[in-house]
Amino acid sequence: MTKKNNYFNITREFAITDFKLRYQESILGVLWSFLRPLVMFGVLYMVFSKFARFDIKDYQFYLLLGILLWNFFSEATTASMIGLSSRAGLLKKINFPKSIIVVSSTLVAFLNFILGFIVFLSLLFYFHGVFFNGVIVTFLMSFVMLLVTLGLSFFLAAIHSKFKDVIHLWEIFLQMGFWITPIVYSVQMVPDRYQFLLILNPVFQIIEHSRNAMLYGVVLPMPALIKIVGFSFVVFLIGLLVFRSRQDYFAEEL
Amino acid sequence: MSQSVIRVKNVIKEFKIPHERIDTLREYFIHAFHPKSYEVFLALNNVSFEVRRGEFLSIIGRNGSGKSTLLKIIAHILKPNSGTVIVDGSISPFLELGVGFQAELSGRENVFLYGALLGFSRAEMKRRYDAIVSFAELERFMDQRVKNYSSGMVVRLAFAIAIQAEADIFLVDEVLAVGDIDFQKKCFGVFERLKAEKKTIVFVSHDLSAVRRFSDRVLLFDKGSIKADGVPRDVIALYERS
Repeated sequence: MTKKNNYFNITREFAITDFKLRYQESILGVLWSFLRPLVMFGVLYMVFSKFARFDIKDYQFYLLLGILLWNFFSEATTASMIGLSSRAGLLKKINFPKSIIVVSSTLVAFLNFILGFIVFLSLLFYFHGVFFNGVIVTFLMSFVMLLVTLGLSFFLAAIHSKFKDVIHLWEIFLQMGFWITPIVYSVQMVPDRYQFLLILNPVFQIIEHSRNAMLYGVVLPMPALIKIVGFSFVVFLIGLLVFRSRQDYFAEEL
Repeated sequence: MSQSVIRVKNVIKEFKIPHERIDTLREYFIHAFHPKSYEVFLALNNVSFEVRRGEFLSIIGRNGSGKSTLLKIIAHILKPNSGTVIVDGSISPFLELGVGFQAELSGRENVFLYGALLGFSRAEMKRRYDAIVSFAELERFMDQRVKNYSSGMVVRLAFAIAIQAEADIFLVDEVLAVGDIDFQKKCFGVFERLKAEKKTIVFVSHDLSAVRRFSDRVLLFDKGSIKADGVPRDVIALYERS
């Protein structure tokens, strides 16, 4: 069997295992993966459309798409770190490509995102109408997101192997990130002198471009697209390189 | 003419044993301003040897003499501090049995998971599934979770999967320690078969009678270096005297 095939096989088996383990013995099973973002959506929607009123067009869809994308990002990065340390026993005894652990953890989160996205798309189709270009752009952006997330997951998992604080730091960072990034509110609400924070935030760029295209039919211009795709490749490559330079030590560190 | 398939040359492996393990950033920063306090444990001290194709090589020695570390280095799980290991041919990547198992999953699910780690596709594992189950004698337990297996059952299942591997070189670490007499007989049967197929086997064990029975050559390890290298009878006698 070829190496590539084998990589694919192990990735699939790990992903299946993760999936089964996560929902085993829970009555609602895979429904939980919908419920979490849905409840979060429900509460935030309630608060920001009924209590504090945000004047954002199609706010429910605006919010839901943002939450789905952000959730993927936060789930995948955390799962990758946990995945690597929970497979310590395996790493110490069997030689297999270590990147598989990060790839499979991220893919499981991506699969969850896709399922949520299908639900989102059906709702949008029924209540709002779907721009064809919007779907194309959002698909593209999802893969840009996947690339950025994989890169960060590689990086985080690699340093988490040495420093067990990283996951706690990252969780705080995610919590701050969720509020600093315009997910529940809009970019117009951010004062000019803070706008620079957003330019450096790839997750925001991805969410914003997806929403603009999906809800308002505004497709990002080509140069912006090239920039963000290029940027995501750079993040991916840096993460992968850091991971590869550290992976020989995992068996000793973990 | 038989050629070497494993060439281990001047391998040194040290483990740093910190007095406190530096696991968190806080400790790392604290320690950055203090001299590091750890002992260096020399697990392998300049080890060199070669294994020929089709050879059954056993490695014996006391606990902590470096046997398992050496196997892990040959399997590319650990990286030596210096020295080289050249392996010509595919290695069956299992060392200890059952480590790849997920306790929360059933025996059946674990067969496919473990199979993937050994390089098999799902379809291939399906073809081999019945043979694995009957070898492990676990027909009635395959839908039960592995966490409810006895240690003997775990080892039987893991061994049944592991011997499916189509490798040139088998690294076997202490499989005989767990398992009853019937299981040992099965293991011996497999060793005979692998020997007949001219596979290369590196066998780490404390079971000296098994070592005597199968080995072409035995290495005796002591404190990280090779103390003796020769035919089973002489090396085992030396080990028993020491």
